[in-house]
Amino acid sequence: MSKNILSIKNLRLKSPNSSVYILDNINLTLEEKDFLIILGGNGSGKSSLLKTINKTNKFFKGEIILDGSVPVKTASEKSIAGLTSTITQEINANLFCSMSILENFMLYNMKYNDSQRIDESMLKNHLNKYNSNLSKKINQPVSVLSGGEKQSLILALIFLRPPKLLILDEHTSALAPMTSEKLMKITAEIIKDENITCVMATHSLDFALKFGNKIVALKDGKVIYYAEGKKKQYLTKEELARYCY
Amino acid sequence: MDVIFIALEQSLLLLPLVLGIYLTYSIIQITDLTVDGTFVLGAAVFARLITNSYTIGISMAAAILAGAVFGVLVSLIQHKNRIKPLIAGILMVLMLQTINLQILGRPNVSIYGYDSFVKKLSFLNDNANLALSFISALVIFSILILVLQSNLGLILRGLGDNKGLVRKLGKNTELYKIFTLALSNALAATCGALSAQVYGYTDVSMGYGVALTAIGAVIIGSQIVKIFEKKRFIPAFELLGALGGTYIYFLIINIFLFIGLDPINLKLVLGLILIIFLTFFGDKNHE
Repeated sequence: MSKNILSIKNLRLKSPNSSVYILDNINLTLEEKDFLIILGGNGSGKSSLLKTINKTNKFFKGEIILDGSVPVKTASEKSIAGLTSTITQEINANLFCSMSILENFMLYNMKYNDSQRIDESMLKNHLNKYNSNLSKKINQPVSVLSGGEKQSLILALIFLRPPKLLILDEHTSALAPMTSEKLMKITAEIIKDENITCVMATHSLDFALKFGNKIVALKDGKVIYYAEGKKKQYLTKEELARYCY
Repeated sequence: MDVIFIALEQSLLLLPLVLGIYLTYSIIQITDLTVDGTFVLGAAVFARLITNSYTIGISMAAAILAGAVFGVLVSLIQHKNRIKPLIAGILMVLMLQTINLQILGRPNVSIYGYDSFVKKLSFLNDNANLALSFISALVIFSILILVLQSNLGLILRGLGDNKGLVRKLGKNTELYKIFTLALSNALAATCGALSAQVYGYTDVSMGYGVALTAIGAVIIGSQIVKIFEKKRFIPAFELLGALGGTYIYFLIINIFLFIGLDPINLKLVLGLILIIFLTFFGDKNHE
């Protein structure tokens, strides 16, 4: 039987300034290699859910277990960081922009207890998989890179050592449609190749249909639709729009 | 020629404090004015102990430790941004005025005639002060290069660049901030203790404005570094830039005094120069 990488039980999260629940009774389970799509409009709770999984939101009710045995509520920030990697829509929030590409790798590598030495030639080979321009700029500050290059770099940083759980919070939404699609394709390929468990929030019905084996739709912090396996595979755009919005 | 050497001696003497400010202002990007108080604290602790028959080693170590402790305290006041770093620093300076006076027992204590590093170097005659400043600057310079080249230095730079991401990578950002503020204020206290030995006395108001002087020097230094360093971060260049900035700052002071500026007007003129530098070259993103 496959191990649960993420298990959420009766999750509730209150808005900091009111008594309204922004997440209300969420129950979800992700096994190894599962790819969950979270769909929903603005304010539906997508980002809040992801921020609770990686403990950015600390004060929640219910239970979130990572990698079968790590309770998010009591786990240290370091152990959460060792198990998860998050990419958000704000590109610069995922990078040290005043520092070089190489230094960014060194810092990302430090989140693991057994951090490995970053070798320049190995790094160049790794970067070539994402964007060949990056391997020519490893000693340049990240601030000189274009938006697309930065987003490719984020993927390269994250996948140098694939996480147990990858959290994507509309990570391509700030990019032009063509670049966004290209980057999503690369992301999905690596997720598949590296057998990574992933949870991705998106606005895009196209992405929601094309990627993932599970889907959940949120509205006002509640799950209003869930599908997996064949049911998810044969969903149409019209059905999805009807169910989810 | 005198002006050039006097400015060099003054810059080397103040360098530990400037490098402390460099760590907070440029590396972790926090404006900490506490050094105004911890500079005097270092001088006061040294003066109190040396005049009470303690050895130079113990007096110096106690002065440095006192600076580090107050660095930790100001960091705890700032904890999780409850009080902004600027306000926390001003509050700490205010409290340190009383503490320093308590330590000294009176506003001014002479340490002339007591044991000191200057006395140990007295075989160098007139160059003893310069030699002490140079040796202390070299030691601190070397230590900071090691810190900045290490993984710790990388994390501290990361903290200044993107605190949220450092936290996301599982690092305890508060601990790193405490460490930096402790180190910065320990350097300020070292500078105070050395200054007391060079001048032969400790005065409770001797630290007035040193934080701003150091920030000015760091800003001038960062402009020098930009000319040479281009895109890569090279710790030795950065620290030499801070020394260059300090030297230019003191050169300006000495030139003004040399051409006959009334010392009463000096701080006004320096304030105006700092406003110009901060307006054109200062980083607006500082906390």
